[in-house]
Amino acid sequence: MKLTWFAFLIAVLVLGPSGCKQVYTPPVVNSNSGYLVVDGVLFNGNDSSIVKLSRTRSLADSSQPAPESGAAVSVVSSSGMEYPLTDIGNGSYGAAQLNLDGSLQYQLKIMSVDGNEYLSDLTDIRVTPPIDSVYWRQDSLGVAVYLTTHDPTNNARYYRWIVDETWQYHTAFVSLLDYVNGEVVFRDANNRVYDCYRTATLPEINVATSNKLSNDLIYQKQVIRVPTASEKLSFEYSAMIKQYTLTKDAFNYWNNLATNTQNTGSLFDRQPFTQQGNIHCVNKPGIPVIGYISFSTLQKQRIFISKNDVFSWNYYPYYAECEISSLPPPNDPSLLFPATGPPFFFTLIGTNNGTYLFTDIRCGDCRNHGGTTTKPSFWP
Amino acid sequence: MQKLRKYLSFLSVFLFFSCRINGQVNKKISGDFQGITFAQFVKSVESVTDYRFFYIADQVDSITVNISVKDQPLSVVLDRIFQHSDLHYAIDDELEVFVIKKFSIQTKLPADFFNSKNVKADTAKIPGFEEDDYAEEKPVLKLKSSAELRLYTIGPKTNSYKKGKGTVAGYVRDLKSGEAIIGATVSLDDPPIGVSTDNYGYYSFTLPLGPHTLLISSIGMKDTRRRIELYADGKLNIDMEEFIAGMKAVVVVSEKNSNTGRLNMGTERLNIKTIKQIPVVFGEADVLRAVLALPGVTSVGEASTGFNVRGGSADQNLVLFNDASIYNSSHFFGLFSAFNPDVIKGVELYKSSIPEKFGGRLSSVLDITTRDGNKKKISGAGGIGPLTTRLSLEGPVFNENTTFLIAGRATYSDWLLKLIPNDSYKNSSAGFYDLNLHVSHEMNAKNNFFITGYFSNDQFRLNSDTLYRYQNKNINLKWKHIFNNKLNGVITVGYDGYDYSIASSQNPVNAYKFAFQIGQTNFRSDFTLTANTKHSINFGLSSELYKIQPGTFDPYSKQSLVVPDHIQGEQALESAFYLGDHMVVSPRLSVSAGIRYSIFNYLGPHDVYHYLPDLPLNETNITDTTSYHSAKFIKTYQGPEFRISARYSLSDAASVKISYNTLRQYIHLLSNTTAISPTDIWKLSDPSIQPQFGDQISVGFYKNLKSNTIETSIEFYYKHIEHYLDYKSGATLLLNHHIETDVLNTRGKAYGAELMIKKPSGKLNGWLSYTYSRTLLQQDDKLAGETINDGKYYPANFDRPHNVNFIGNFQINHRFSISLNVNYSTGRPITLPTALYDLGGAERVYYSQRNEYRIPDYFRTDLSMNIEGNHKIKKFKHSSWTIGVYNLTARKNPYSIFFVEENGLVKGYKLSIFGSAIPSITYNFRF
Repeated sequence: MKLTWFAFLIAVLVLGPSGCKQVYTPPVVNSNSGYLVVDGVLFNGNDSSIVKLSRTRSLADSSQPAPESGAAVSVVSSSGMEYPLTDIGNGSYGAAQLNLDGSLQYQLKIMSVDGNEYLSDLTDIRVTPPIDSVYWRQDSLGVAVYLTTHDPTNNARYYRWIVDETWQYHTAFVSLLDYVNGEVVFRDANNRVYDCYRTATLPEINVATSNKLSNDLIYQKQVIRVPTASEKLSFEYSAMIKQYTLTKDAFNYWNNLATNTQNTGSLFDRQPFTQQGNIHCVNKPGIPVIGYISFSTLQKQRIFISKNDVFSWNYYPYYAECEISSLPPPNDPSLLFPATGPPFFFTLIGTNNGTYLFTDIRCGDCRNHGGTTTKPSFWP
Repeated sequence: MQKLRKYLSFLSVFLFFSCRINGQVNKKISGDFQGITFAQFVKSVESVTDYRFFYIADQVDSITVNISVKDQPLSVVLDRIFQHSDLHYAIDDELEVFVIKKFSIQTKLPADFFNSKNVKADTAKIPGFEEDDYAEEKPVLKLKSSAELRLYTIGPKTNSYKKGKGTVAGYVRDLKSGEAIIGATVSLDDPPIGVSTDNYGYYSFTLPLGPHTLLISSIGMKDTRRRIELYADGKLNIDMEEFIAGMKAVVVVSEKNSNTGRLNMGTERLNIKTIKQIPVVFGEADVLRAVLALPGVTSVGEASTGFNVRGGSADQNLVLFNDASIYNSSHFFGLFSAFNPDVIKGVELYKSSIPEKFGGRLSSVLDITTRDGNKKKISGAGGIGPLTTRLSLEGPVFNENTTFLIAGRATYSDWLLKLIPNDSYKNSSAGFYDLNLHVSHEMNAKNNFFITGYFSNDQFRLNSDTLYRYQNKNINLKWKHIFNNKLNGVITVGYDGYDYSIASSQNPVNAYKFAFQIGQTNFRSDFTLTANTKHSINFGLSSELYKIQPGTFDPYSKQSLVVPDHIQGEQALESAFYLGDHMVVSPRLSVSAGIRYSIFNYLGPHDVYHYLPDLPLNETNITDTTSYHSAKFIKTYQGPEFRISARYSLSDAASVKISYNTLRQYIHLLSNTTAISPTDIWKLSDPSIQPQFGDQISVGFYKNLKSNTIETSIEFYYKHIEHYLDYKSGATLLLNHHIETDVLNTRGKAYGAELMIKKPSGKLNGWLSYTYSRTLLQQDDKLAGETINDGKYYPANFDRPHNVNFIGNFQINHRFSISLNVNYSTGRPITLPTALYDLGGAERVYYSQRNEYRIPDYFRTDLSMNIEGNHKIKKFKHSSWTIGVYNLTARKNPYSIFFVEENGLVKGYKLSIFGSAIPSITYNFRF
């Protein structure tokens, strides 16, 4: 009898109990918030600065954020100088370079199309020390990239990194044929869609501070994590690490945003909240404005990692289940492509004894997987 | 057996040999015997003379020796000791001294059997106490019945009763283990008056002089009675026997102990037997989980430290473990309570009328009492469960005046962590242990000493990097002194400590150690004066010296560049004195009125920041700093607290009660997580942070049905709280040198109703309760710099309006019982996002109003079975198995709902700690 219980217990312990995490869909809230969201950093010097304007949207709204176009955006100095940013479309406003006076304070001014004026608080331009070193290491979870930096003047203290990753990948089959304007044409080497490069900005907010240390040193801070088997290391991987520094308040803003939106799900979560940034609506002081505008100089460093540098990567291609099919009689390729033009769903691969071979577009055209065939200028 | 042998030899002496008179003895006695028991007296006499005493312990336990003699014959000494009692003695040639009591039923002996002039004892034939019975193996039971039939003379016997009143006092104890029985009722049938025993099993009962029959009852014990002749004040210790239901037992329920008769309202008492019947998650009886099954008690979730009583926060509960304050009452992320079930005697939760002797917290007092060790023999108990193992040992030291109880508990596995659906817990390890020590010493009938020690340690390593550790350390010494039958008191001195530390060593440059510590040195004295039948007066004073180290941040190793950061320590003195009177106004109306005056001194050394007046407290508004020297009174808060309650009996089985309480709390737990976490810190009130103040009014109606076998009650309450702390968004609580800039003063209100139907005993017992409760907070101080929810009332994190609890236990037979626990409650409030936006490369969520939504409702059913081994008394070891299933329906009760950014998109998740049914099996043993 006792033995049976014991066996039962073991079985249950091994197979049975588990906590669980289930997807939760929150009740739809009809809040017509539509608050202005200002995302960007203004870099002093030769680096380009981009500020993106958008609006908050309903939770149920899965669409891309509505860009806030037609606004007049400019940088204003404490002495009254105004440096307008150019509307580069899609809600983005930029400047190829800003040459600001480090002894002055600056703020961002936005005049939206609906006639509201927004201003960020006046702030100093932070000076960013160069990145000392970037190295990577493979561990049980994948590849981690670490960064070390320091400021001999002990002024920087609060850091943020923005990482642009670029990686090369290919699709299942080399397509030798293309379908252009209703006709099948050969692809030459420059038009191949087998090899692609994809660039994306890491979505995680990455901040650190040395304010508890005697020296302004950030030592071996993990800035990137590429999990084992990730496509990013299926061939060649590169990352541009951009470092800039923050004020204490800006650091708190980003750190709180990270805590509230990235580090949730523990047993002891904080009461979530949305922190007020440093941007205010001048003519309607009460309404929330989201975002935090910082002025800083930029330091950057690029690293490359090749799949040959890592072991046991076990990449499982996204195209693993791809197949090539022969076009059935009447072997008319136009049947594969809508007469109205793209988007297409198939890619022609080649011919076999006069019969067209085709495959799913995701198996034949790497661009379908988010990348572009244009080799970036920095690629080795 | 020793006693039995003495008795037998004693009888045989009486029956078959003639005795010599004591006059021929020339051994003289000298010494100063003050306030000792007869047994102690005997011991000291035997140690210096050749006399050997034979007596029955039961018969002499009312004797206190208070004499000082020099070179007196033993007979003279004994004459003096026995002068006001009905004890008689005889001393024979062999220097053997026989002491026996004169019994009410006497038989005459042949005149020539003894020399009547020399022998002062009459032989006795006690019903149920015959030789034949003693030849049997069960003397205990026989002794018991004899006690019921005996007539006890209290006070020096006189020819007739005097006019007036007398007080009988003493201890009520368990016959088998000698342990004190708390809350036993000692009462009379006519007039219907009664008293209950205190935490030491002590009672003091004032009655008209004359003959009485005392009825003694206590849950789980067999009712008993004592016939007394009350001539004057005197002592009577009473032994009770455990109630073991016979196969065809008729359940007799005492009506005196019922909820209608008690004056206190909103008081729940659970003994360990009840606690052990409640199914628990890992097979180990858990005090806090049992408390959570009571009406009016909720918690934030499964893995949360602490509990919430009537809309109070977890730090508003005073958790006392033999009068030691426990600052963290949980182990292992709140899944286990800090108390080893083997040492616990019972718990009492005061949630509305809080006795004036308690103070310092707003919501409730959870008074946990431990058992004293077994007085009769060395015994032990233990258990092996799926996560923990425990062992305890107890028994007398040298003799039955001193007992010890030592117990330990530890985890031996942390598989549980792997169940928590969060990756960081999967790569973690955790464990805990705790130790209990309890020593009680009965120096004499008037003085008892108790030492309680408690130590607990928890540690967990998160992601194999950060190590968390927290510890409770408590020790106290109590002296209970009985001045006389009417006045007794307890003096307690002790130290209660709690500390925790966090250490991270992975990155050598950032490696740090963080530590927090709170220590409290206490002194308290509590006195009870039973003035007469109408008044029972409590008074006393207490003082606590707090010392808090709010945070130290230090480098972990030499390579670390961490700059040491030590927050200035805090110290304060909290003192209170109180006076309360428990009045019997008429047989139907009882009133308890008390006042407690508390004084809080915030002491130096400390630097105090001054802020610009009428502006939000923040760093930029600091104008000045004042440094105070050591022991300087920086700020004093004080005020009276009123504790008033009244009971009016509508009939024998129904009553109405009303109570009003005010309370003050000078210490706050700072926590901005929804569930209290082990790394929250305690903060004393200071010049900027005011003490919390609360008052509560409650009304209740109580009715017993079916000859008091079923108790029903309904209670309503309304509570108002001032200066409850909430936090600014993104508040920094650790290592903050000016915490007042990050906290917000809120006002709270809580109200509700509690319905309960309870069947306290019988084959089928248990309760069903329904609670409606709301807790709302408001923060509308414009000067605070920000308001929460636009200054409107918002629900607190633990606001769960509907709560239904069912606890049922069915005793199928002596060896097998089955228990069921069903719990339903409204989900707790959460803050849900109201909008989405893109920032910093990913989708983010926008939160606006706090606690506007709720997580789905909570429903859980637990089942457990107790299987006892056979009941042979002679067995070396008694064992039992507890098999249980927690969350029988495998419902995935959400603990929290959270939104997280994954690959740039927001995902919403429901997190359940226990997403399936969790079976457990525990082996318990006693020896």
